[in-house]
Amino acid sequence: MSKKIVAIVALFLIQAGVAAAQDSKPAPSSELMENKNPVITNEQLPSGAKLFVAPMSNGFETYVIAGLEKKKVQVVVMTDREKADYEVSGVSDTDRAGWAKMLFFGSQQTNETASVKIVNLKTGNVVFAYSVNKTNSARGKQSAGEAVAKHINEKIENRYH
Amino acid sequence: MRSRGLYAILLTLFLLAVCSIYAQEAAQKVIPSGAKVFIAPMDGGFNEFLKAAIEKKKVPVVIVEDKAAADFEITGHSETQKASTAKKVIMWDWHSNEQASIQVNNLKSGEVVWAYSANKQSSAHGKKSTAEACAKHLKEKIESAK
Repeated sequence: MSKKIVAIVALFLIQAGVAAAQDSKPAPSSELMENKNPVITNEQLPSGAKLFVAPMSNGFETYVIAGLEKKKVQVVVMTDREKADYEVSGVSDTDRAGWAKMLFFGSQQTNETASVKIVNLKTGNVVFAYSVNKTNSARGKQSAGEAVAKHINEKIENRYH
Repeated sequence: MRSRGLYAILLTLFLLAVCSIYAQEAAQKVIPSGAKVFIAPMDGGFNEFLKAAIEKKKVPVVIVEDKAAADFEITGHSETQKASTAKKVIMWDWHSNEQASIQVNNLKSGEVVWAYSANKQSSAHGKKSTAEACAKHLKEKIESAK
């Protein structure tokens, strides 16, 4: 009789242990799944949208904001991510002219490359993505920043394909 | 007749409300003359060049050293590419290439009210040239709001 009780208690303890182990594993929430597998949608980027431009390498975010200002893009740039509806993030790289380029081509201009994406902070969906490559960029990062802004403007005006 | 009058009053009130919303939005984008501005530290001490340029170009703002006392904050990025040996030997050019980008943030609303970037190939006066370009355009922005 006592052996049966011990066996039942042991089974109960094993089951409780298994349940606790399952509980400790993080449940895949829908938000996490969205972040791991971002969805690229055809969602419209509305005029007057509040954008937060996240810091990028070499301060490229300031050139993007300056580009948005110059191209008169109909968005409101926020300094606080909490107040924004969308987030612009990306990477940028600069390739400086080497001696061979100067000697053979007489050019000291840089090659610029940048890639950005705009994420809807509520849904986690990518609403816009764009990459730019400027060989012999006339005005360095400024040119790349303005190209990004121009295409964001096209997206807002629904002219982007 | 009475309903027409009521309709006219409601329409007027609606138009006034719309106008006030647009006016508020436009006012948020304005940098008023005499605004208190805090200049945040930037790479290579560009903030110091910017202060000197604001002084030189007589930009109508008050620069404050305490962010808590300011209405606006200027942040940005600056980069200098010094002339390499190849540039000196091949192109006989000792001048640096400069690029800078600044943004003016409204500290109350959290909005970026103005931004500008400058790029100077073989800059005659280094960072001073880009800083003065930024200050010149900031002055234009402030004066355009008058």
